[in-house]
Amino acid sequence: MVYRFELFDHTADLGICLQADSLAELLPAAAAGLYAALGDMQPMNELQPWTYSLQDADAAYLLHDFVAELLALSERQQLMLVQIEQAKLIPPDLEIQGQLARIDELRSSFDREIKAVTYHRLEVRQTPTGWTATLIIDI
Amino acid sequence: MSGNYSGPLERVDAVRWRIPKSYRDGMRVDGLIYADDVLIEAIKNDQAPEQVANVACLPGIVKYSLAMPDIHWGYGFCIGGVAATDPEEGGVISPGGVGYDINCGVRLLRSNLTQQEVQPRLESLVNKLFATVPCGVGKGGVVKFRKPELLKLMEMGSRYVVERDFGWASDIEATEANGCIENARADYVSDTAIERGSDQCGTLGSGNHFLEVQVVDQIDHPAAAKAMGLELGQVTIMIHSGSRGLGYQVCDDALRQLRDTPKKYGIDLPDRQLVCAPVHSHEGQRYLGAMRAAANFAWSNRQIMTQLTRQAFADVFGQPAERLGMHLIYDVAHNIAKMESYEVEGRQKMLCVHRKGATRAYPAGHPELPDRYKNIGQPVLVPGDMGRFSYVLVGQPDAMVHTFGSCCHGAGRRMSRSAAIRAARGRSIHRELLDRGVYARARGRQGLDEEQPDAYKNVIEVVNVLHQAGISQRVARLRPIGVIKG
Repeated sequence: MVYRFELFDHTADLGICLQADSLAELLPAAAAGLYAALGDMQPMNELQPWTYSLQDADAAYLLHDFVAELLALSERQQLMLVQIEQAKLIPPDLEIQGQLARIDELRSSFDREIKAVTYHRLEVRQTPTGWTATLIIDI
Repeated sequence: MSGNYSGPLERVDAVRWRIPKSYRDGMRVDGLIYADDVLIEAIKNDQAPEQVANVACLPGIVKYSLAMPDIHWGYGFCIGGVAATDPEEGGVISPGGVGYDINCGVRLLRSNLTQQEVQPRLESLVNKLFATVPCGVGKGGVVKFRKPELLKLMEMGSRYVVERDFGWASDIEATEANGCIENARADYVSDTAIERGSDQCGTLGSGNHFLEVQVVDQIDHPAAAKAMGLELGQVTIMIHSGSRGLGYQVCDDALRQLRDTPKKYGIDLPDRQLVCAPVHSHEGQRYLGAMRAAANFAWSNRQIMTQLTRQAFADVFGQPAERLGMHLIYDVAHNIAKMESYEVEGRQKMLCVHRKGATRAYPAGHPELPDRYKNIGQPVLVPGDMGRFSYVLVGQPDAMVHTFGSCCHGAGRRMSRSAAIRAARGRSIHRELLDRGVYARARGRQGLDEEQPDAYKNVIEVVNVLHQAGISQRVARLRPIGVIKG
């Protein structure tokens, strides 16, 4: 998988810019970007399988909801996605299979409380070399 | 990645700038930004004015899309944005006009203590507050509410927790809307939101939320200061927090539910974050009901922290909080939408006023004010930054004419979070604050760096614009001496 993310400034908030070879590879890029925005997140060793699916005609909404779900998992259950075994992102379908692990609170550093993933400047776009996406998160 | 604003800004007078509705197709009213010559240059540095223009496209918007001088780039609405819509003219409610932190707000407590009395014990006081008031990312509170209790709390607001010994009866009338917006619908709040909020009522959170120990440093309006029980050299406590995870989730749920609503009602929007529904629609009423419930949660949140603060002071000074005179001066919401009555073209109308990073500022004589403030106007609490000052203002009559009874909510950021962290490299913000006479405790690794004084505009400049415009009047200046942050 080839993907990367970059955090960028958005005055009081924070942006995540994603790039990937394929639409589906935006998903691990988004997960990595979210965890980097939260702080230095370290997982525990024990894994638990996770499947997640949703439908929407708009790829941007699918990406938004996926990141929002990861945020909710981290806040409510202290879980993070550590492994993606299968990822499909072809609107209207998003399907993902992977492994979650508990966040190791002793080894992790929580830099920020993220309130939500906003819809502001939310975008998923194909480029000549792959796919790019932008998310703004509310701090 | 933002770029500067390059659209029109026409000078109206020394403190107001207009974005004419001719600027863009879809604008129904002009945009109006309050700023002086210095602040307007900073405001052009991002796309916040573009967001003022976007909000001017909302159906039913009345008079202007407004921005206060602490305006900065947000999402959907700019921070510092005010918009009133007329439900009888198809006016809409937009969750983006309230924000994720529903009823984020500020409250101010007074005390009988002077700086001379507090200074020798300042470090132990701040440490005690840091240990007593839960703060930081994901930090749970001292009380965990079960779902039936939370449902009740969201319908009753502050009164629910005051009746459970988290406060004094007098706190209620010193809170905007008496700490409870009517017609809250806790049953519209999702289980996810309730789960996020169950252990967060009575917690400060992180980011720009804070608890400050301050000293009254300057009095500008002696009569108003007297009515509030403020005098020079006296110690006050300011608390800034909101509805925590519960409110964030209520907003998130609403934005998801409303995704297709604009299309249903034939509303064209320039930004997805501005999704909205007519106030009178089922969708609009559903969001309003849940939003009011989250607002009531936020007032309970600040109320519990008020009582924890009183306990900390009582422990450190060995006297009950009552004897320390720790009365609540006022509590204001600055992220909210409320139905309020204004005169529009000679007719009294009930409007839906969105305040996203803006504070209500009713003038003297307004029927919603408690008796002790009837003659001076509503206290408006404007936090600055943790190294300089905060302000207490009172609302003025022109606020009712020009800004739908609204005023600024803070200094407004001038530096992004990353820029602030970069600017803090090689420095100790903690040490620099100490040099300014401020003892600070923060839980997060980067909290003090991100929130350093230089990251904010000078609040004095912001406050002076609205003083000059006749929207609010300065009452007192507060200087921080102790800070706790998440």
